[in-house]
Amino acid sequence: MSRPRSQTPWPLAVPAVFAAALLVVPIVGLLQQAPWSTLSERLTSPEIRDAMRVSAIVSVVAAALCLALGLPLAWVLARSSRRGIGLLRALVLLPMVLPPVVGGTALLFALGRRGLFGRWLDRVFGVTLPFTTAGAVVAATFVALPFFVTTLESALREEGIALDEAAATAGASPWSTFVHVTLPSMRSAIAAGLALSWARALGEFGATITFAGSLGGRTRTLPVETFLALEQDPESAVAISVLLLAISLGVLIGLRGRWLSR
Amino acid sequence: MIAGRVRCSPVPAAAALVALALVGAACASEPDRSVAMVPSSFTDLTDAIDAALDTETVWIIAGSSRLVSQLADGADADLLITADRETMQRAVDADLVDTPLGVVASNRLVLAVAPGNPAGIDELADLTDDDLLIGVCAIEVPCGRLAEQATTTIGLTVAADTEEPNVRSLALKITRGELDGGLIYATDARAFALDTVDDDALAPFVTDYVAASVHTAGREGAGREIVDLLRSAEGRDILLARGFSLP
Repeated sequence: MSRPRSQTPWPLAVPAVFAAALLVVPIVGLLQQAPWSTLSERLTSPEIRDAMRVSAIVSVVAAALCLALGLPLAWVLARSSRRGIGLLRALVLLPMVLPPVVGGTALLFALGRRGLFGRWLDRVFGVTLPFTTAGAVVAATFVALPFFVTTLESALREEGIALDEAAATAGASPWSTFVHVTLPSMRSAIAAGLALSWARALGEFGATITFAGSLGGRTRTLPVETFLALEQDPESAVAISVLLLAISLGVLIGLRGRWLSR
Repeated sequence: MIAGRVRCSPVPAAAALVALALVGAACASEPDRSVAMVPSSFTDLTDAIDAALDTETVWIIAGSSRLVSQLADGADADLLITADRETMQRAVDADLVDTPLGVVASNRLVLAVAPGNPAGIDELADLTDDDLLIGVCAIEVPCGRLAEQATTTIGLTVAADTEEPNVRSLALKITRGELDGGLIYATDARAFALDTVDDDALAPFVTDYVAASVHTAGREGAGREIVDLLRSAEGRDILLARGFSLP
């Protein structure tokens, strides 16, 4: 059975067109400025290859951390009825509204070598996060995690607890219920959350440069490279941006085709 | 089937009004105030200049290269000051400024150390120590170019752990003790009250702040009072007190 083609009412159609234009027009502006004829030379320089490698590592590890840490947090937010959950939910969303540079400064104050907890990390474990790839991963995870958690939390709420209760009645333990009932039903939400948080981690700039600094091959990601290139060589900056767009578009479309189709 | 009547939603109209209001606010001009674009290292000068002139200049503060791009993109300004001659030359080449007003101040490169100098940095050669956390500015910005020029000339291979996008973020990281030391401007060392390692080898590495007026019809001469002040005895005192050197 095919769905009937519905007419879009104009009060929806007009703002929808404006919204789409607002999102697409800047991309068109970027693309028409791109130095297409020299694109491949610009993008194969050793600096950019280094930045691509750093970006790939940082964004993939950050997305993996979002899954490993964010899924349990989303579960707690969706299922727990303890006091203070509302406050926790608000705190989890904060990195979304905080300007990333402020987030990076906050990370520095907390996890830097002289920071509140970083001091202790340094003394007890000899671990210094700033100016390391691990620090860049922490910064990217900090900004990306809320996207994963909110996606999963709303999916868990939508699913409701009926299935969980049925499993519990059948004698399954809460952990077994999570693994065999909840997790399988969350597949597409997990894919969506991963795609979102990975994309956010890939584009992350402010927190990274503030917390992890910028060193080629170690902490200089593609967005940081773009920012520095803007100072001297705007055409290269545009070229890197086109590369970032192409990578993320490719991955997002790929994910959509595979897991997110409805 | 009963055709539903479509009600006119007030939302798009309200959105359009808000958009118009924003555009209007952004376009409001301030005819009596000079607009000066100055590099980040001038941040601590602006209040003193306003106080001395008893005016309220509209200050646009950013990295020099960014100021020039803003001008190229149509920003309105009366005066442009850049942190090196190279960047001003780009503005001249792009025909963004007209009257060159010369050098108004200079700044020296210094080796600044974290508070208390926990790493015990006492000579330039410590910059090459892999075990220390050392920062410089990225080569793309003036302080990074000056640092590169200095270390190449002196023959040091800096074991940098970060190449920061501007001197302020570098100075902040040294102040917080996240970095053990780094090459920054004398003015930033002064602003952040950082100790510096004295070494005559750094003395020749100085950057000049160059001013030029931006041509805007009907606003000729605006912004000149800032340059005149900086060249007066009072202006020199303001500059020296903040770690600048005189041209």
